[in-house]
Amino acid sequence: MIKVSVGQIGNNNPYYPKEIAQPTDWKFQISAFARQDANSNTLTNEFFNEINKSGYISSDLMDKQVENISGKILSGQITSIGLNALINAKKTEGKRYYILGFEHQHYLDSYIDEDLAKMLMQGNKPFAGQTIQIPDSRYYNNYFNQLKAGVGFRMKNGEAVQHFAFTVDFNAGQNYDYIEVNNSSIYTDPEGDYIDIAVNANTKVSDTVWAEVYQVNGLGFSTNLEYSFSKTNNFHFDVNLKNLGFINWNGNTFRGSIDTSFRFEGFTMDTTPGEGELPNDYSYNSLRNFIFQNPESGSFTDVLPLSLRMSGGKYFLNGKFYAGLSGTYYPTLSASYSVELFGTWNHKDVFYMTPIVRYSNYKQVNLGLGVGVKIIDKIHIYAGSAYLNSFFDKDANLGTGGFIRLTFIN
Amino acid sequence: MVFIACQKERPKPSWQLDLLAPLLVDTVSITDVISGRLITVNPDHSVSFYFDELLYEVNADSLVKLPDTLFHWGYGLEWMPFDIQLAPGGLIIEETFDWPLDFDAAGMEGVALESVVIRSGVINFELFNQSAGSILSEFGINTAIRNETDTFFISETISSGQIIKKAYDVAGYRLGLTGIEGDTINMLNYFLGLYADPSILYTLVLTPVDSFSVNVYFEDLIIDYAKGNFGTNTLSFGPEVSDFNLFEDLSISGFSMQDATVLLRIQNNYGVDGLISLLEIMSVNSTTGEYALLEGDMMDSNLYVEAATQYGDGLQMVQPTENIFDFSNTNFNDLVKIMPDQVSYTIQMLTNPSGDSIGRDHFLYYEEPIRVFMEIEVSQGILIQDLFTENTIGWNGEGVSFDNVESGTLTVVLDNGFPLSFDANIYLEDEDHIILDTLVYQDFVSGGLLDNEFKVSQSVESKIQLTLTPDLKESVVNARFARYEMLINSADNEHVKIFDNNIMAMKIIGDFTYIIEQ
Repeated sequence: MIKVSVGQIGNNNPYYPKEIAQPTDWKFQISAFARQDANSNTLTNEFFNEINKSGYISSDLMDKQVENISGKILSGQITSIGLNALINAKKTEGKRYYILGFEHQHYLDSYIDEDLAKMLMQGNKPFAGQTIQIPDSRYYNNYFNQLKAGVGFRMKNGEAVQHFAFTVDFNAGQNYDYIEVNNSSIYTDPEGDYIDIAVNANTKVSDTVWAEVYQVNGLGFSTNLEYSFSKTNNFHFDVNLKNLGFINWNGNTFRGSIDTSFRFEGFTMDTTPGEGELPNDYSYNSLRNFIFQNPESGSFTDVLPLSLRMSGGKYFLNGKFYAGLSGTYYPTLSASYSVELFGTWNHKDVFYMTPIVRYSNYKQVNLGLGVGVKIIDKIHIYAGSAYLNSFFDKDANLGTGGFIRLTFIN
Repeated sequence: MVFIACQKERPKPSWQLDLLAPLLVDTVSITDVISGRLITVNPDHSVSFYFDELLYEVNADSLVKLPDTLFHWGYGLEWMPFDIQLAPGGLIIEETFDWPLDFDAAGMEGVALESVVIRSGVINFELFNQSAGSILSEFGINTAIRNETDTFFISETISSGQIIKKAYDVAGYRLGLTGIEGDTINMLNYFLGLYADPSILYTLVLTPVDSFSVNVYFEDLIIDYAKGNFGTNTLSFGPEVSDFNLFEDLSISGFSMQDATVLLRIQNNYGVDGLISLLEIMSVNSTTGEYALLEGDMMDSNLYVEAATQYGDGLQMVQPTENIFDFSNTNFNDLVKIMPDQVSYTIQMLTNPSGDSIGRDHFLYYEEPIRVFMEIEVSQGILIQDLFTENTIGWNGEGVSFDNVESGTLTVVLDNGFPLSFDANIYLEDEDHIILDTLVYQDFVSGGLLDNEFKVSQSVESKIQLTLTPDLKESVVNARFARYEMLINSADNEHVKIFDNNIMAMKIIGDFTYIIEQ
């Protein structure tokens, strides 16, 4: 039976936030956790899967996807996987605990204008004679490892329990890739005689090659803060500020900025070989090298993808039910918010089931389910997905993901 | 649009794109299609066709000729009162003497030469021995020197009663004509010696009836260089026919012009002034049998040409005079229109016409004769028919990659702003000019649209579509040169006007399906 709640950075279970053991009953808790959310307001699951499989996207699938495009394409994926350890303080057992952790985080966030997306998918020929407008497109990809060390405080005042915890994090970055295109346009002459290009873009890349998780292309520091306030079997509220910090990227960096317009009419035939060449393969890297002709290298610093999560809820029937609302705000991402409405049924503190309703920038209502099990008071497993209504529908807009947490208590 | 799960490898999906883009572009100017030596650009940007073609050369050998006969000398012994006996090698006669060249006898008046260099020819030496024994004859021209040291000298043995006639090559000999003292003109200095044959074993007996005669004369003599005073003489040249290769060199089958400026430029390399009269100039097309005579006021008139000058130390250089005469008011166009391959001419030249040149600074070099050039500048309209031209320009297709192109076409767009149409072949060549592929073959490229003044008012676009085969993909990337072969015609068969801003834009546009691989 869970009698107390513990606010745990990275370990907090928003779907049923009660402490999973009495504060003086445990010496340490170790949690392994993973969560991934992949969403798009336009791209379908089938399309997304084909890309991830590195397969050939048939023309039929591409056409179907293009037909599905209406407005800007917002797509993103957030992945978090790690280990957390809470160690109860010996002298102030139940009142103070130490936190050690490791977490790998990956943020991918893109916001592509409709015309640009269609051109990338179909080529420029279908748009010959039309002006492709690119008023505001962005692509952001960032993954890094975080070593965390911190301390948490538990303060009990009657029925009210407050937790405050923070960690100081050392960040080892693997990859940072950002490009934004604003107020740009492409016009292809109907006969292909010329292409008018107006481009206003900038990019920052830590390394043009995706790094392995053990590689280091940047270092930085950050902090995570968490505060919770709850009354047993009555209500709970917590607020979590994550990734308040930075990484200084210093790999094989590539920085470029361009604001120009020109008419491309072909390369003159007497150009010296090696100069002014078309991209070899029109891959992302080749296009970037083509657009940003005079890139700079050198380290640069950027903030981490900060998130602010608030969660609160009300217990009913002496803790048998918990109804809650959780919202997360990502100020640096295009997909800047998500909200989850959920209700958890607690069956004898052994089995938990949580229907979840999720809504976000992607303008999709996703339905999911979380399930938790306690095994011999030592092991807690909680797993689920908020995307059960879209996960298995290949034609549905991308909405996949899930979470799992395995906690061992001693 | 790149997503990952936990693996840190960028997904590499692929898909098909329809791409339409200009790939390569070049500009063909008038000098790319018509040799720059044929055209000039005027300040108003109009392009004039300019021909400066040698019509004919006046044969230098005609200007001044040496008399054939050098001297004839007879030596009789009738003066002897009795017979004399000569031992082998005994002297009969030995003389060194001056003997003038008789230009008057050769029909040339007032000629006063100081020196002559012989280009080719021989001296014939004849001797008749009317004695009872064999004699040795020695003959030399003391003032004929070759290679600075080689004085002309011959030695012959003549048997009794025999005539010897031998020819000696005198090419390269410089004849000093100022005599042994160097103070006269037209004079050669000789040596002649007659002796009893040194090889005989008997005594030569000469009697008063014996005699010897010597005859020396030039044959087939061509002068390489002459200096002195050539006098005032009227010389005729022609009728002679010379080849006229302009149109053959141009590879053109039809040519006509409007309001051309036609100049005859007489380049005088001779160091003597003169009056030249063109008695007859006729162009001949030996293929068609057509001919045309030049008519106009300038014909048969006296055209004064100034003398050339020599300069430099040692080997003298000639500074010719260029004497230009306007023949625009003649029917020269008629001569050109028949596309002649030969020119026939008959001219006269009066040397030193004023007669007041009394110095000895006239000169001629065989290799530097009088040359008559035709200068035509056509700025107000030209009609070209089937002018063949070819040219090679650089090509760099390395910037283009067709690796992922699945299928498609290349469109060669020729936007022709010339008032000329083209039947074109365009080949792609490698760095060794080996043909890799053919871009355009026997395709017609229309000329630009003409306005009322026969200037281009609007360019005309011609498109040639090529299927992008694997070979063509490779050729476009690997080629280093593009070679044009063009048969050029004036647009609408009109006398067109060309400007230097008339260009033909050549562009290659790709339209293909492309497999993009991330």
